[in-house]
Amino acid sequence: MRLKNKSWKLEVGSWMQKPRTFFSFLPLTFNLQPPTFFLISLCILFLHGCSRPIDDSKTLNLYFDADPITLDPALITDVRSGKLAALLYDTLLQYDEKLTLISSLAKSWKISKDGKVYTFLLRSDVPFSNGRFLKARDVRFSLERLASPSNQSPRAWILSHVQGFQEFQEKKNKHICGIRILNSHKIKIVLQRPFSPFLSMLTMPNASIISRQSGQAFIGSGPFRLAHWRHDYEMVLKKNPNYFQGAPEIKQICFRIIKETLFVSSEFRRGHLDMIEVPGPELSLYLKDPQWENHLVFQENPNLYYLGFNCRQEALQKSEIRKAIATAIDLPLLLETLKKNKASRINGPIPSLLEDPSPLQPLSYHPDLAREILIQNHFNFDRPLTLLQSSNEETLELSEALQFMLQAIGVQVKIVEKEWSSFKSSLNQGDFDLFLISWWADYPDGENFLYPLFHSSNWPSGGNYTGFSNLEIDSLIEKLQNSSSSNEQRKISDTIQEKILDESPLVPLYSSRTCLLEQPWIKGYTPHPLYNGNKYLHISKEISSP
Amino acid sequence: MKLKLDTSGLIGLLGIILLFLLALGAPFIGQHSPFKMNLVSEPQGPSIQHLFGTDPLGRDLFARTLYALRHSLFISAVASLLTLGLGAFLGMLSGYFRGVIDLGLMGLIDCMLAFPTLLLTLAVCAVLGPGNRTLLISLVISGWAGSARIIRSHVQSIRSKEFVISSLLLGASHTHVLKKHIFPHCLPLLCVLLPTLLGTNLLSECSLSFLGFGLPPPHPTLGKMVYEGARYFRLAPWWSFFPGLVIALGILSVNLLGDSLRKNLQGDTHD
Repeated sequence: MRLKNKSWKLEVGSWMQKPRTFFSFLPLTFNLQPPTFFLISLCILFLHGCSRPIDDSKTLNLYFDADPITLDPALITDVRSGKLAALLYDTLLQYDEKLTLISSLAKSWKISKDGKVYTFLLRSDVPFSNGRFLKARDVRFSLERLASPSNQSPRAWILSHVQGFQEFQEKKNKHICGIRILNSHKIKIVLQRPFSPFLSMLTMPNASIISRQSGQAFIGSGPFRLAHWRHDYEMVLKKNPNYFQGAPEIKQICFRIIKETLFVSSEFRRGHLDMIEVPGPELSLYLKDPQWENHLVFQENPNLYYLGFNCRQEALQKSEIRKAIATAIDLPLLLETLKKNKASRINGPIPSLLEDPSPLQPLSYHPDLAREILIQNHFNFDRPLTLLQSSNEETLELSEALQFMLQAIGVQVKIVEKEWSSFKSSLNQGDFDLFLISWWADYPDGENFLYPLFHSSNWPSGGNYTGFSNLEIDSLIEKLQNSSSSNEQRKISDTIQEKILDESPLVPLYSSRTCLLEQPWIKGYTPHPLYNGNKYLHISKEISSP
Repeated sequence: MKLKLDTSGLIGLLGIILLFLLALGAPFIGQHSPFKMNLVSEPQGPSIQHLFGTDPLGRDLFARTLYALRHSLFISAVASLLTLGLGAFLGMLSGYFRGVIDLGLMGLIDCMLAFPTLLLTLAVCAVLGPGNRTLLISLVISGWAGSARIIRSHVQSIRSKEFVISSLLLGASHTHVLKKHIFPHCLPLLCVLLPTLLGTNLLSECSLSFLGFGLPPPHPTLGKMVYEGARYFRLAPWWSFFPGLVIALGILSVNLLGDSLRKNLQGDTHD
């Protein structure tokens, strides 16, 4: 190939006469002038653009912001894999849109009076995608897989209250003795002590039931089956016509992997995506746009965004100081401006989605009082507090606003931004004063916001990053776990939250709201507060032909 | 050699002077503080009140852009001087003494040049953590080898000139020759290299802050502003547009000046 000044010449001649080039074996001669070259390039680009299948009315086009990490239910810890697990597998029980526990693979269930024995009656009409029907042995197989030491599941704790879990983990027993098969469709799970959130935990994607004869493939009974997966590009799920709750209305779901939020939005406007989560900064544009305002769906999330204090740091050991810092934050203003329509106010650590509004009184905004209390408590204003945060775009503005507000009372804040894994390891090491983080419910139970965040046994890596330790609260949380009456649970939970607000190891900021935008042709979609709640059974596309 | 600037060079020089004046005068220009927040509403578009608009925290983007420019120019100017100083020193040593010193230094330079610049800079930043010092160190580490190599070859050609050899024959010491004969002859080259380096460093500094290795908040940096603004591109395009424009202007002026100076030097050598 020779490059000449004026024209780009791809010279290919007969074998012996012309200098040998890469294309020498071809008995052809191309002479590419720039316009021709340009045209060919355009054609290639155009053809590439056409390589995506034209959207038909039976394919639901969705996206993920990154590749799901695993399809092995025992190992799932990320939201994307959890979403997929809901489509590929089923759990014994599930939550409906109102967060009521309903049956799924288990037709019915019974809890003994002492709260220790759970008996599940399984459905007999559930086929796995390999044709076999669900039996009690599949349930035991899946749960033991989760608990098995050889799988090293990060979620094995789901079964930690089951009798014989410890022995099974130490490989003393072949089976978990607390999981007993009564007959082919009846199974009993015995706990060591009453544990109220147990049923909730069984709805987690990790407790998905797969066929005992899965081998490496994880064969589930869910409404969809994995058709193909091109890593970092797309994932296609085909519907399961034999799904026990009725086959889904759409034929397939195509999840594309799109990392850029700007691109997500433009693909949606071009009609290539059927539903998107509106990127935060664009929400107000869509809200003002008459074309889209009626297609926005808001969904409260079961999560807590909070500003945590390092209670083991000398400067922040006194609860008065922590409370004073909390009162210097004008939370209503923050939510009204930065998080408008994107967050809802939260009074205590438990999101209002999971619990009816409690009589808790959140701390009000009193910057002058805050400064006074700090001075009274000999707070060292010269030492800047390190605010640790992950490089999360959503909380970046928030931390700068917090920095500004605390500066107004003379507290210097140094923001340290770290990417997620080094952020997590810094949290575990405790080298910070303040941190900004969110806690998402593993299972929709208020207990999931109390035990991991405030029980002293979860410091430092179990979720209690504040290093908070209070024996009274520890025992109250344990009492809450053991209680079986919902009235009693509510009372204990209110007491715990009150005490926690009084100690202020963290400042509850808000629960986030997801804003979904659906195309006008999407019918029958109901948002679900849990990431693994939606099975896309009744969603359909009605594209009217012009 | 006389330095004569053509029109484009002059425009470049004026551009640089203007940017430097803006940067130096940042605290006196405009009525807003770059840090003062006004959490009331959505980001506001450019107006008489806020020439470049505001960000969602209500901070004036004109003031922030000027402060960021001040920081970027300071970092890139200091980094360029340090890079050039180190490069010139090592390049002169290598070109003048030849032999083992040359071999060793050239090996090192080859190693340094083999690394992709941005990757090397990122690695240094990741080890040292964000901050001004880190930016300077990483820019110098990734930049010195290139200029050292250019200066070395220039010194090699001067080294064999008659006046250098006669000076040596007359018994002048190496220090004397390097100081009185070699260095003055390198000066024009250094003058050409400086604007080029300034441009490269400005761009590198902006890329590093874009990637989150710049100054921590609340300090504004041009790269970070472009990055933050990109998320808001549909809602508030001015947020990343103006810092981007300033970066482009800065690099354009520096390159125009550098080009013009280079023409001078080439003319000089042809003579």
